[in-house]
Amino acid sequence: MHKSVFRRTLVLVTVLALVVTSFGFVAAQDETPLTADPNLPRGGTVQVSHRHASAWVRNFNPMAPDPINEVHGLMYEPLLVWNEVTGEGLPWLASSLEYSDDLLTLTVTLRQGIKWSDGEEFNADDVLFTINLMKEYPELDRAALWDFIDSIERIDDYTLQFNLSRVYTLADTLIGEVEPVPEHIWSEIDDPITFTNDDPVATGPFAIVCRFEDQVYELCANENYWIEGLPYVERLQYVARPGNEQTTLAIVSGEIDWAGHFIPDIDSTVVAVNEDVGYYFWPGGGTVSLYFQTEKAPFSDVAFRQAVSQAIDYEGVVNIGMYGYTVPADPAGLGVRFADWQSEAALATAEEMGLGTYNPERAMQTLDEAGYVDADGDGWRDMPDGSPIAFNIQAVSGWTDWVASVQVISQNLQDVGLNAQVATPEFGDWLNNLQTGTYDISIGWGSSGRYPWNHFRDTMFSELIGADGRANAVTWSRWTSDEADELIRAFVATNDEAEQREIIGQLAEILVENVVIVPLFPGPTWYEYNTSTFTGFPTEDNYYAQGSPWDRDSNSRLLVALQIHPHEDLTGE
Amino acid sequence: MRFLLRRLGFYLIALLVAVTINFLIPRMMAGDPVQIMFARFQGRLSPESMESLYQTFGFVRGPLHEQYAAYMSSLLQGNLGISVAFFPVPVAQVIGSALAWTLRLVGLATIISFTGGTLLGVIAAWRRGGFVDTIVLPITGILNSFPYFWLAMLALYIFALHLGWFPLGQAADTDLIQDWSDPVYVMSVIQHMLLPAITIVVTSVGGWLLGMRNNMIGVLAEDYITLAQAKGLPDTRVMLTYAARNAILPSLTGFAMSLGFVLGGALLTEIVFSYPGMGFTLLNAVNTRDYPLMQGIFLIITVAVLVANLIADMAYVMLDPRAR
Amino acid sequence: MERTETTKSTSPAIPLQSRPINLPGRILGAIFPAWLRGILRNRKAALGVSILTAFVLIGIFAPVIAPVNPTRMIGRPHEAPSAEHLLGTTRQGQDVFAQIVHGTRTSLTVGFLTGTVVMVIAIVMGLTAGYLGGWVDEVLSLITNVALIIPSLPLIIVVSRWIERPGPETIVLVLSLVSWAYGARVLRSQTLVLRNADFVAAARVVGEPAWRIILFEILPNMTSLVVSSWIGAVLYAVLTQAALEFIGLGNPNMVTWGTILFWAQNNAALLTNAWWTFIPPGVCIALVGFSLTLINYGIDEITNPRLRTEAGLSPTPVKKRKAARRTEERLSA
Repeated sequence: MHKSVFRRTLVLVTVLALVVTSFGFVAAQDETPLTADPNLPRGGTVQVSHRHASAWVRNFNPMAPDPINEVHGLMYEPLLVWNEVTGEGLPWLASSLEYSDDLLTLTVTLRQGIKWSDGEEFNADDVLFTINLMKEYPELDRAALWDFIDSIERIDDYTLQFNLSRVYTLADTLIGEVEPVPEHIWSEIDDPITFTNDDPVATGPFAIVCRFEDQVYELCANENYWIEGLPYVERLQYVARPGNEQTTLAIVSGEIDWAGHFIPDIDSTVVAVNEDVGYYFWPGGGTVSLYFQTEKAPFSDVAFRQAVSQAIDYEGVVNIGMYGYTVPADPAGLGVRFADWQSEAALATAEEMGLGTYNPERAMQTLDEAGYVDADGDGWRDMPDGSPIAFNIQAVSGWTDWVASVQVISQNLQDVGLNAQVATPEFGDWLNNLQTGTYDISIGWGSSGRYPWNHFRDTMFSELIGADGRANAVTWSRWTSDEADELIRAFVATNDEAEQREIIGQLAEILVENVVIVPLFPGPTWYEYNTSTFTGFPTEDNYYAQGSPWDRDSNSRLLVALQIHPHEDLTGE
Repeated sequence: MRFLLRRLGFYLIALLVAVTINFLIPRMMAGDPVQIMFARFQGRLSPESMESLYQTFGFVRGPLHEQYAAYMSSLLQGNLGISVAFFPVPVAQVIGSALAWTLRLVGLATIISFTGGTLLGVIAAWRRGGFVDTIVLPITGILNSFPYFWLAMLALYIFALHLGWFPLGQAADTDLIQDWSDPVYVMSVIQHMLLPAITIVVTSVGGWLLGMRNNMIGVLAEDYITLAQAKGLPDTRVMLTYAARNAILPSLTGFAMSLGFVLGGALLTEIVFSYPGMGFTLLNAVNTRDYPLMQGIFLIITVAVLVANLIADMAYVMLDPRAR
Repeated sequence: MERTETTKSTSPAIPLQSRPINLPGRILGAIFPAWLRGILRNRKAALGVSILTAFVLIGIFAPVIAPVNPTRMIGRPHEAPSAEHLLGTTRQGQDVFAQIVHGTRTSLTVGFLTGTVVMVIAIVMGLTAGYLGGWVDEVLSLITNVALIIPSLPLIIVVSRWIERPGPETIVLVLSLVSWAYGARVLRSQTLVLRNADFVAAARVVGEPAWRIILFEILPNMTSLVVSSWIGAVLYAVLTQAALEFIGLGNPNMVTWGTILFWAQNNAALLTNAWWTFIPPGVCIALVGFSLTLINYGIDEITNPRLRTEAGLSPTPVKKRKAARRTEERLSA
């Protein structure tokens, strides 16, 4: 019985009316991105958990650096929802974002009939106000919009025209990320930076804070929500739990309906005990990789890095370090999300160089040929000039999946004669080490942006290494080249997909050829659900959107929150 | 009186030094709050946002002496500043609720542990070789040498998960609205407090017990006790007003210290029992390099310890005429 | 740290203010052998010493007892105890028995080293302040008191980053730096008492230099206090090390009882019923802690016979014991 209800919602999702043109994002007119099925049961409180805390702090300012996470999307909705799973942008508060032929203006048309949770109408003034606020207070301009926006013209109540200062083809997705705030409320605020927005007025489906206590907060359905009949559930409840142990216990005992937590050996710890719990750890996160301090010998030597890549038992890392929750990465680190951007040439190069394949004999051969042999007979290989090699592989203290992965890697490297030890600094120290280049080799996350471009830009773009020598984003390997810089700039100056694919292919080839990083595995996104009371969650077979209830930039969790519903009607309970 | 004034002066200097060290410690840790804030999103925040974050957090990035001056002057105005990790929520608000829960749980547990332990110690010394002296004393001694978190987790698994006698965590039933005038809610709070409080008391009572017992035995050998007994005073009166009153003096400073440290929270208790409190708040502040929040918590602990010590000094003077 | 409140409360167990100072002369000179004999004659202390000795021997002969490399993966994940793996395997397929045995070495080394460093700092600070008095005392006491109130958790993180690869020595350093103050305060007050004793005054008249008086006159007269404080510090170090490692502030690559618990907890050992990774290390820590507590009881009883519960752990009729006490008191009076 549960299954049939489920099928019906699935059909709904596929009806999403959407046209993606190479000139922006356009939704079919007068169609809401989702429609409600009036026959589905409604109501109920969904227990959600995604963050470790012992007590909550009330902060619903969507422009604050790290407010209560639900302000993004569930309360303040974006102009464009990005579905990471399908790689598509879904016009949301906007019905279209379209470039002019010269790519220098972007016309944003808003949906009509959207209301704020206090009943006021949402229109172009709110969007204009929000983006102008970011100009007045650069502290709030998180996406640095005013780097490429020159001016904004209000055409009518529902249309805005953005005049760009240069061609920047990510403008539509970045402006699409903007989550407008209501002008009629926010224009009265003295300081939007220090505003904690205790009782938000927003357009989203769960805009109402109906309870906020030390260890619990609840978000209630917005009765004025613009998609009629949605959301199905009445409220989302968030209970504070400080650690993995406690969240795992709560998931096992069925206290949580929708979660985003890492759980060790989930099949035996949870699923075997509570069969209502399902999970899918979609490996669509940024690619976790090994980074090298390439300004130091021997890590500056491509042959050395190549040997490291050949020596690693990737299956072992994935199975022991990551509990088999993900898969080994591709040599360019594009991950499952951008698999169709893969360049054949880069793959061929990787194959030829033996990258990303566990082959200790070949690693030893590579090291021998490059002159890294055991000169003093202590059992460890030395530099070609005879000086000893001993280095640390860093991982963050307490991040056990990474630490266990690095332990496997250090054993692999020891097996080919490299004296590699594991070091586990505390998070802040670790980050500082990577940014200032005071490390040898380290495991680290990969960038996860809208396009494969973000991956290469964040890994190799020289402009991301600050004047103070700090390696920002994930340029931790400190490997840059003029060629890569040019390609990175060229990508955002064109809107021609064929050309963009060509650029990504060349960037992949550069990354592979120089072994800038050693991609290990695409990051899994933690996501568990309990179907005893609610259904409609994305599953492995029907992963219609990223399932985790934690979200920062894509807002695709909005698609999930709008579609979960109870098995039986729970209205008013 | 001169003694107390002297102590007061001493505490003021200690406070000043401690406050300065509290300011310096966070800044000696590698990594700054903005970078960590950025990195917490693990590649999901675009590098473009760096600039805006730097601007937002200008107040923790200026030259050290300027930050110090700003910190001291806002302290004098009773202002603890704005938290970084929870920006823009003021530090006082972040600390507020955690502090209340910590006071209730750890404060109560410490007082119970001290009074219980001291009373048992009196009995153990008075009835040498009796039940308390030969059975309770060694048992509490064993419990005192267990690793706390280990015992607590075992208790959670056995008594909460398997037997279901206690809730799994939280400070109250999450289905109940927080309302202190509602007896159902208050009962729920007490019920949730039981297991964590018991684990704290059980693992700490042994120290008080043994200390008091040994002090008592020392005092019981004094002539005035023999005299009092010889005068035919009732046993309980001799035990409590003559012996215990003097024997408690050495434990007082220790008790004052632990009362002060109550405000630091009980990190492991909070983690094991999902209990809100200062310990986890501090750990979080440390992990996110939330300088203002760390400073705020340090300040509260420092002041509490000093005040508790001052009170202990005064109690000493009142209970022990020789100290006047 | 979490543990502070318990440790603070343990410390009054060192009954310094109430202890009469008539014993020192006798202990002077023949410190060790007589001492050890005394301890072994006390049943509690003897039990404590034997448990502790057993662990020390396990630590010393670790490679002989468990020749298996405790960090290598040698089995399947979470194997239950069997003849091959006496205490089963961890999630990473390491042998738990080997880990416990090798962990003994690190845990005890850290414990004893820390205890020693703490006591050395405490002796230097406490005795100097107490004996010299005046402004030296003011300054040292201020430092001691400030060290007492500085929250230790962030300090531990600050100190541990000064060392490249956190290992046992880091924990020793960190714990010593944050935990010497209580001992210093205790020793200082005891020194204040001894400073006015006749034999010290005599030494001063003879013209002995201050450092000689502190080291050879005052310190030997505080042996029992120093030893019991030292044991207290060792106990504190063993427990705190485990707690630190448990919350993830240790080095997870090092095999110690604390890190075994850390990994067990992170791999949901109790939820998966892999109790063999969680129970044994906790029991080991508790046993070592218990043995240290017993030794401390014993020392208290030896140095202050009045504290004795003669029958040790087994109860004797109260009346008989009361009579015994009265006789004892009459004798000592």
